[in-house]
Amino acid sequence: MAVTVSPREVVDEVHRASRALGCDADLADRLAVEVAFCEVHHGGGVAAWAELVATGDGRLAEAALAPFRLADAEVALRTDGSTRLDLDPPVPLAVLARSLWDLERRGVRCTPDPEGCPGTELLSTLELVARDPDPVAGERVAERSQEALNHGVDVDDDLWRLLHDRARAFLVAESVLDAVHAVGEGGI
Amino acid sequence: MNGTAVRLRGLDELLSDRRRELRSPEVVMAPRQLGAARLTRYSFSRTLLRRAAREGWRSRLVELEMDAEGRGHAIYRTEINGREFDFVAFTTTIDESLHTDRVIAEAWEVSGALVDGAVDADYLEVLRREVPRQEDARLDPRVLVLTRGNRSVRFFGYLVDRLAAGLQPEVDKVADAGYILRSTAFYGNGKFGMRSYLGYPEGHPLRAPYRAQFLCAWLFRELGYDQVEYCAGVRGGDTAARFGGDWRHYFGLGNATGLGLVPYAFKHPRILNAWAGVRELALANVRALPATPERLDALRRWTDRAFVHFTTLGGADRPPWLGPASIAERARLVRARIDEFADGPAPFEALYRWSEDQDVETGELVVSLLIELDEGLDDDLVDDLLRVDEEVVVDPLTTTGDLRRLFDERYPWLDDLGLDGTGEGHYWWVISDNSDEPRRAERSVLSPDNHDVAIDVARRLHALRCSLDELPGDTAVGTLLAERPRHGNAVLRLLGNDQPYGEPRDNACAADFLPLELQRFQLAMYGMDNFSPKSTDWLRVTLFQGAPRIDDLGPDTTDDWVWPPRPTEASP
Repeated sequence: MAVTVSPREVVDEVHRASRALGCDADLADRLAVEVAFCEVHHGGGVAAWAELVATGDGRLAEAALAPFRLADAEVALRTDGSTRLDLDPPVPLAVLARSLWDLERRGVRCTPDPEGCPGTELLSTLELVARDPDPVAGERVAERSQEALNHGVDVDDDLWRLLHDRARAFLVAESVLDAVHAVGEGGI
Repeated sequence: MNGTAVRLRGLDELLSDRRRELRSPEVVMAPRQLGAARLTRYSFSRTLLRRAAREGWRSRLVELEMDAEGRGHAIYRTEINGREFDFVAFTTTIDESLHTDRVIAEAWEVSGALVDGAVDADYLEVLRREVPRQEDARLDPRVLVLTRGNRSVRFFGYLVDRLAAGLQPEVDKVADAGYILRSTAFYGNGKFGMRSYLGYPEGHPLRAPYRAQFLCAWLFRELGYDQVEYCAGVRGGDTAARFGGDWRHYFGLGNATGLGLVPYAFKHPRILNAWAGVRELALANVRALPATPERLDALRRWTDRAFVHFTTLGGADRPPWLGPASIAERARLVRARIDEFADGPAPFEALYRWSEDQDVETGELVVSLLIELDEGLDDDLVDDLLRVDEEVVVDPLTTTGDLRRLFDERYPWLDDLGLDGTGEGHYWWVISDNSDEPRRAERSVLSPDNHDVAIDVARRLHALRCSLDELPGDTAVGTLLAERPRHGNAVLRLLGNDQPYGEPRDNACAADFLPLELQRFQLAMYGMDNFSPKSTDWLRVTLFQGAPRIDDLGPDTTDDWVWPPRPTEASP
């Protein structure tokens, strides 16, 4: 069974659930963008997130650092024309999917090529080489994005429920807030 | 400035090219200034109705099934350029004790959805099951907007009684309430499975920002009239009257607005920039206009309209803001200045300059009035300018030296916020488990423990700036973030804030932060008025008061509906 969700919902839920699991706001924001992009363009984004959570031992927060490490690797790449990023322990494509796409847009070829891989694919090494940007790849991604924004994206029902339940833990009970006289009423 | 000629130029370029003609960001984005904003001709409610009139949109009530108390459902269908959109509303009654404006309410007298396409019997049942569940609903991308609200406790029954008896409302019973139904939320943009805003394809008639929400709100307001008239008709039979004369238009849609607007404002600097930027461009256009008798007459008409509206609305000041009586007095002063400056070489500029020396609410009233004269921005252009790209691309080779320079250019005002002092982190922002409602909690009473909503932009930027002092100037951002990922959002903000009006000069966590100010700015952009604060954190407003009803909309519809006078006894 699958449930159709909007990309924005994936972002919101992954952010909240990751916060509840110990990621700070900066890590959770980045992770949410990566996972949502992965769900739309590769599939398996939420599944990979759930596997990291199931592994425990702080693996989620550790894996969430990968995009920042990739940005650091790009510094070396832009200086030397190529570089290699070792990921130990390996991380699922889902936590890097958007960052790798951004690199491709900027003309960086990544080996292994993430195209066609599911978000659960584990990456232990990334070879990055500068090249010319591929305009056709941009059109392909834009089409997929538009399709997902217009019609939503299908996510496994059980995984979605798990994510949603974890995300609820980010919220604070109304009774707790009332007890400490937190302020706030109404809404739009 | 000609709207067609500038269409190919983006908002950034316009704001940059005309920087010297525009009010400074320090003025525009100051909290008190934001908290004095008023609707303008580019507010969403007004651009919606102008476009609807121009393009011949047709809305009609296609189904109304209710009992004598108004419980049931209604469907309004709007035809736009060959496409159909249905606003489906489910109505019930709840005990008066359950009436609340709070988002966390669990029962609503009206719940509704705007659907892209005509709703058939099967889909109506899906909506009947899901829409009243609101935040617990599971919708699909056919749904563009989800909303809800309540009847005005004071007036709904009264209005039914009057019409059932064949009578119109009594002026002295209407007081300051200009609505029959009061909404609290217009969810959209992918929430609960609805279609994402960016998923509206090219050429979609509701593709402009907030157009779907405001079509929904306009029809929600229509429902109030129809419900009252229906109930009155059931009770009064042949004796019953319908709203007549000016009463047909006087009531708008009420709205209760709370803290949800504040995180939005801090999370979307480029949208804020677009909203303020359009207004500032329009103001600059008008300040530069030479006077003509027609323009002066128009400005006098609008000022007189404001004076009459606020005079007849009446009422004392509404701290921290002026009340209707005081605003009316300000409008009278403005009218006198118009006459004084009319024969001068640049009366609109003179009026604006005069307003700079007045209190901030007078100043923003003048801004609102002047913008009525704008001839430089057409509605198509404004729609384009308000659609912004929020993506921020970080070049990892940017250096910490570059970041320091950007701080100097873009954030000198951080020094004025006392971010090293006490009280700068007095509050933290949290989301309640009840209906996702944002709230503020005192840090000294309840620890965030990773539950904080990260809208503490000023504090995060301040922390990044302090970190930069510890690093060599040639450190690459990519390296900085790998070592200190906690600055990820601050770096994005610093690099992405390349526009003048994106940042409220405020700290959302400060002890003296006043949410009402940001809320009012946003509500004014929506086209709401009659601001009535109920605390530091929430307020009531009115929308579409005086606006044409669905049967009235036509090519002759103008903006003359704004700021209606209260009807008199002789109105019908």
